[in-house]
Amino acid sequence: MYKLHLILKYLRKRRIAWVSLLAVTLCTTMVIVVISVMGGWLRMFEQSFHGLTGDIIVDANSLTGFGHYQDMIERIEKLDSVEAAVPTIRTFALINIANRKSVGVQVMGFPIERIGKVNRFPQSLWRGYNELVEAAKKPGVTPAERDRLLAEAEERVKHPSFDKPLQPEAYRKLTKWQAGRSKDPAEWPGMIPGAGILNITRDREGNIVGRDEFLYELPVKMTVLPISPDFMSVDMQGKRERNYWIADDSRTQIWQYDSTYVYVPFDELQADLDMGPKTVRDRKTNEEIKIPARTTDIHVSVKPAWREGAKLREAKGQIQKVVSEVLAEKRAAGLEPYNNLGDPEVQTWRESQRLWLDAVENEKLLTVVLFSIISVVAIFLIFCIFYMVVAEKTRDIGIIKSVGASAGGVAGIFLGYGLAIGVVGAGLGLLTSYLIVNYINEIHQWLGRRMGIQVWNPEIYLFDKIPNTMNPREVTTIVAIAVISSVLGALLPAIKAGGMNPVEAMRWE
Amino acid sequence: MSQAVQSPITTAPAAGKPILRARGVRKTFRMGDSVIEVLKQIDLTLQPGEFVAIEGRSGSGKSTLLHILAGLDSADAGIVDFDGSDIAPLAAEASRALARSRLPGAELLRLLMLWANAADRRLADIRNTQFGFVFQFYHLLPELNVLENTMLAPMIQHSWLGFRSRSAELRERATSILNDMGLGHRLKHRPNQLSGGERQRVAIARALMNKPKIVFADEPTGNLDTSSGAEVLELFRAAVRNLDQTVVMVTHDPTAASYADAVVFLSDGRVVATLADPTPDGVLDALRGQGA
Repeated sequence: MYKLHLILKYLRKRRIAWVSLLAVTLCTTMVIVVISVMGGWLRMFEQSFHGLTGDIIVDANSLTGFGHYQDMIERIEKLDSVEAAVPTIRTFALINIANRKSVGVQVMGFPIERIGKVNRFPQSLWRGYNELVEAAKKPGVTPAERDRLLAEAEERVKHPSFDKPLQPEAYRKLTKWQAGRSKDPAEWPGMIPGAGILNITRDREGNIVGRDEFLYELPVKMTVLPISPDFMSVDMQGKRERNYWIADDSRTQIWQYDSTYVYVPFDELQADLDMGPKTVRDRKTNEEIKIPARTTDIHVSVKPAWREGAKLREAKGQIQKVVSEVLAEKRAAGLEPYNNLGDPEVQTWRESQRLWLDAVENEKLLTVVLFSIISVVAIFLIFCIFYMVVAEKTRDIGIIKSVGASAGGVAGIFLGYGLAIGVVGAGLGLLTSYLIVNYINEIHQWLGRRMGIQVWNPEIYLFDKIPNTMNPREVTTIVAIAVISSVLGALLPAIKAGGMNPVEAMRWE
Repeated sequence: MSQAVQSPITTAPAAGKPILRARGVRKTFRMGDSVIEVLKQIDLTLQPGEFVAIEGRSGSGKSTLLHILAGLDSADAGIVDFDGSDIAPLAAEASRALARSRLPGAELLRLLMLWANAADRRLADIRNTQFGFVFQFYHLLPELNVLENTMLAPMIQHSWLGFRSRSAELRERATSILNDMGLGHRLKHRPNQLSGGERQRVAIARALMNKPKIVFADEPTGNLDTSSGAEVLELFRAAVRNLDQTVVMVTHDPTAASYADAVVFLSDGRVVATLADPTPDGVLDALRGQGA
């Protein structure tokens, strides 16, 4: 009884111990906020990256690509685990936007009408989706209008396209085209650049800026270099140029993608890269060689039951088997002329993006370690303060012992005191961090408005909001560590108190 | 009618079973390279309901003797028989357990040893339920009010549930004792809001709270003015008279000693005389007789 009574009294009356309480509160708050934001950021990254890829990717690991992808897709789609498989081509290019901006980009070509079956690319489009979603969010929109806009957005996202927004005549006018002198500009294909390439960003308040109507009037010339027919080198002489019109823009919420990627129709890119089916003559033997059509990746989406853990790995194994079988069959039939390329690699979406995800995960780990080191300081602070409290309370310890408290009982008072400080401090830290994490966007906006401080620049992160989800398991671990740390900080002083000789303690000045 | 007796060294009337008996108690302290023998072969017997004062010069070992008799300190040799059982080995074992471990990093082990030490717990239990203590500097806990300070012993004795179930009864007893001490109007006051005499009365109330078999008082009037000191000594006398309380009091004040039934004189670590039915002058004479 006396332990609890004294602990509560000390907790209320010994103000020096409030410093320990504050240290525990601050450390708990700091670590929970950092872990929640970084963890939320990581989860957002994962979702966004996953949104750009299939669940499983067959990756050439080379700009050369691999052949027989149609056969592979046909067989992959027959697997029980698979929903859909779509070929994509990735390469590098130079683009010139209406002679205003020339920039090196990565190009991804895919059949856009099918891409929505394997990833969430259509949800990144402005005209194809977000224009309506943003309109629905505007103040003053009636609920009925909002529902109509959102329903239309959901309908539109089912049919993504490279269709251009203007009428054919408008494009002809823009280029002052004269029939018969050059290719009809109305027939130029549509291109979807990343929002970052078009300088479409978010300002401090998070509003989208830089998207102007004349965007769709800008011609883009894209130059690519095909791989030579023997796949050994890039054909520097055979550069291919093609004009496009901007049909839409994509905002995937990942800066690395949105600032470097443009998306074009699969067939045009395959043709420009000379990756279509063709027949060539071998330089040495002059024999006729049939080269199959090639792609650099196949994105595969698996059925919901196969999307995680062992099931996903099992699906990956099935696809790997199909890819190997197809290539083996083609090689046996003499339809795979160049054997020096190696088989494409089959990866899960996480494996394919591990470069970025590992970087963010390491960043999270590093931050947690740094903040944990700071928290160790809190343990020392508690230790020092408790040592002071025990020294200050030496005479009281003698009194308590003389009145009948055992050594363990006295040690228990100070361990319990440490525990109480840990529980109250961690509890307050949990509450504070909950409030901070929950209102982090409001706090961020307030800081931006009042002081011009912008910690989280949407231009870089392209996230509308700072991630603010708390993981119960992580939070429980942090709170438990805070409580244990407080008890550890109090351990040595408690032992010192328990081991005091009552007579000496009462004589202490 | 006081009478100084040189020897044999006992305060005990011949009849009755003694409540406390010390035999051959020795205690030395090490100060640097030198060893100081504070108590040399002390023999003492105390009967229930007896009020004994221990007198002596500064450094005569009277406080050390009190601490050993009360189980607050250990003797190097001898027995301290309390109510039929020797508490000296318990004190020695507890003292060894409390001594700092020399093993590096053995603090956790030490904590476990402190917790598991049966001798320390047994001794603590005896101090809690059988003994009461009053010290020169009151030694009240500053965070607790008068009532809480008085109830400290039962708070230590009982678990949280046990205390809660007896809370009303214990509170009533504490209040009753404090009323008897003239502190009924001070229950919620903290020690720093009380005078020296009032603080010492709270300390006496705390000592009596668990109905101890012996109250040990170490210079209880040493820090009080004459009138407050007299009040405190009257309270001890009243406890002896009304409650048949046994009291052992260390003092160097002949007037204070005269309130006791008998005075034991200590000099140079030995009991050199006893005095029954002491008066202030008798005590003073006895002290002079020892060259004090």
